[in-house]
Amino acid sequence: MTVMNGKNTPMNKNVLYHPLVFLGRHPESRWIIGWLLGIALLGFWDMLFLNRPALALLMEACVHSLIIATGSVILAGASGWLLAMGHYYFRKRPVPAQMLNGLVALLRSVPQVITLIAGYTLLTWMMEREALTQPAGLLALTAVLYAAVTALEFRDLFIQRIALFERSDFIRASLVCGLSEYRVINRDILWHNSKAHLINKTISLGGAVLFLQCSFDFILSVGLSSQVSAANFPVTIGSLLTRMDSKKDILAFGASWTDPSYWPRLLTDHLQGLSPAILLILTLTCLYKFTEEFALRRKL
Amino acid sequence: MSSFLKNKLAEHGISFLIAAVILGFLFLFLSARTADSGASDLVPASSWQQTAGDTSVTGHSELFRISPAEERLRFSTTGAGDAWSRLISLAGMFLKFTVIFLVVLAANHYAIHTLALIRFVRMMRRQKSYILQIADILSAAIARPAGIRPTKAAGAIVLLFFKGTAVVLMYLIFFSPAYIIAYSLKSEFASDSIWFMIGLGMASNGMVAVYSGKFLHYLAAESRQGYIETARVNGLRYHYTGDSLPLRSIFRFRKKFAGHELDWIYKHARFQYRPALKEQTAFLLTSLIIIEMALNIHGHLCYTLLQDILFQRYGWVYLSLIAVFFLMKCVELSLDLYDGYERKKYANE
Repeated sequence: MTVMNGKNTPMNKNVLYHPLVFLGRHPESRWIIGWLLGIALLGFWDMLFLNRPALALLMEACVHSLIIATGSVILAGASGWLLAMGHYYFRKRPVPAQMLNGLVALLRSVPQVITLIAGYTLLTWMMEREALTQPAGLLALTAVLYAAVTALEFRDLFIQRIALFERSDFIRASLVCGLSEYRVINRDILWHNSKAHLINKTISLGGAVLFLQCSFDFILSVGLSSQVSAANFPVTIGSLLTRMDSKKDILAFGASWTDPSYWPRLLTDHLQGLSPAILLILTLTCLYKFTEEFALRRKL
Repeated sequence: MSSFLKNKLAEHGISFLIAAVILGFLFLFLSARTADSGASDLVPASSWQQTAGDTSVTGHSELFRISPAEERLRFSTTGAGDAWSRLISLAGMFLKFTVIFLVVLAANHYAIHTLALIRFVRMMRRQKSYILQIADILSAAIARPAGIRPTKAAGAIVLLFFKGTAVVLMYLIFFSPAYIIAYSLKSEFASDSIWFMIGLGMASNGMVAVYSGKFLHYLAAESRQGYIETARVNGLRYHYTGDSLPLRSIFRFRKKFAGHELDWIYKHARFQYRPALKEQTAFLLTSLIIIEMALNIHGHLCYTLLQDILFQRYGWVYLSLIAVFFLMKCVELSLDLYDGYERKKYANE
């Protein structure tokens, strides 16, 4: 009933977040459909023309990249939430508030890349001394590293949302009604009234982590240590691109612009390098266009 | 010196010092542990050749022409003269990196604003995407075949198809990581060229696409404000057609749209965009470092930094990182000053 009359009631909101309704209705859903179709087409093509070991490696790389991206976004969300809660609840206690703000200012002032280089240097140092050998541990620590450089974005979002509602009488009125402050902040503001913002931030940060991860895997292939190389880390989309065959395939793609007769061979003979590259570019483009259209439609 | 400037200098100075001390401790710790272990100096040739072998196709192999032990001896900094010459060489690289950073920053700033304005004008003209325009022509042709001239419709479809393909290609290039673009162009460009790096910094890593999207949001949000609607009622030009808003005005370096609402929308959106500017510069710095490192651009600061990490010369690593951090702090301070200047301009005091 509420969907028919289009009113912005809680029930209507729940229906809008239903995946099937969402996919069929909104302009940004074109990018999800496009991404899924693209992945399906690439997968089908790879099954036909890419050799089995390379295909297995590509799938393993996708899983690892997905684990790192998901893990770091979840960790970043959790640490961002903790920092935002600290900021809110320590407002009236100057000493912990100043300490927390100082820590945040410090984290913000170090460029992402310096944190990542320092983090990867530490990781390779640990691997050299065999303090870190398990792939699961490596994946987890890599996710922590990326979460450390993206957590502040979540913190800023949470603080911004709380501040927006503080400017109105929403919080005070809810407290007068007898609701607990924790419930008002977390359930009513950060969950019920910020879902769209959270979805947008989560997806855009997922894309950012994927990009940074692939770039640093590439750097790792140049070397941060004489004993540890990209080969020692779990395979990811970025590390697949650093392999010699992949680089040759990308080079062949560039060369084919001056020799169009070579194009058909690209689609069959150079998939080892082109598949991860297409996967990465397609994912980044679709994630970005999705968040952009979503934000424009919801006027975020 | 104004109190605003003093506060900002103190804020950035303190954070710079604290981060420098923490990084210093980290690298002192690593240096001490490396010196203790000692064995890592003497890596058998077969070991390092094997490690490097599977990752090299172009310039990467050049890094491993000599063994790590030889490399360390080559850059031994026990002599004061060597240390000074290395320091001067590093200063030169830092200067080169700063110039590239500033050029790419300016070029990116222009590209981001221009692209966002083009997209905003298209949005205000309610122009459909190229694929929807093709669908419209086709559906009109099916609904009223007599009212459509086939050659004209086919020509329009072909033109729209090429325009759409160009836009898709542009986005794919914008979202391609720099190393993918670079390795696909390797046979035609020399990777040690500064211009090549500037081009990559501008066109790759999603920089222009992401931040032009952000700026577009600010433009769209400002266009919905009440003061814009009031100004329209009071006679300010608000049509986005070619006559009312010539396209060349969007491409100007100093963008002014006198007598048009876009002038105010643009000014206010630029004001709102200030916090994102810091984010943009930080991302650009990251992007340029990634390009220099991933592409092995010899004689550049970040490539040298990577070599220093590889050969565990942590003192030089520390110096390079601090230099990059210092550059970032200088840029942040300039942006804060710009922020203060803009706030003062619009403050109702």
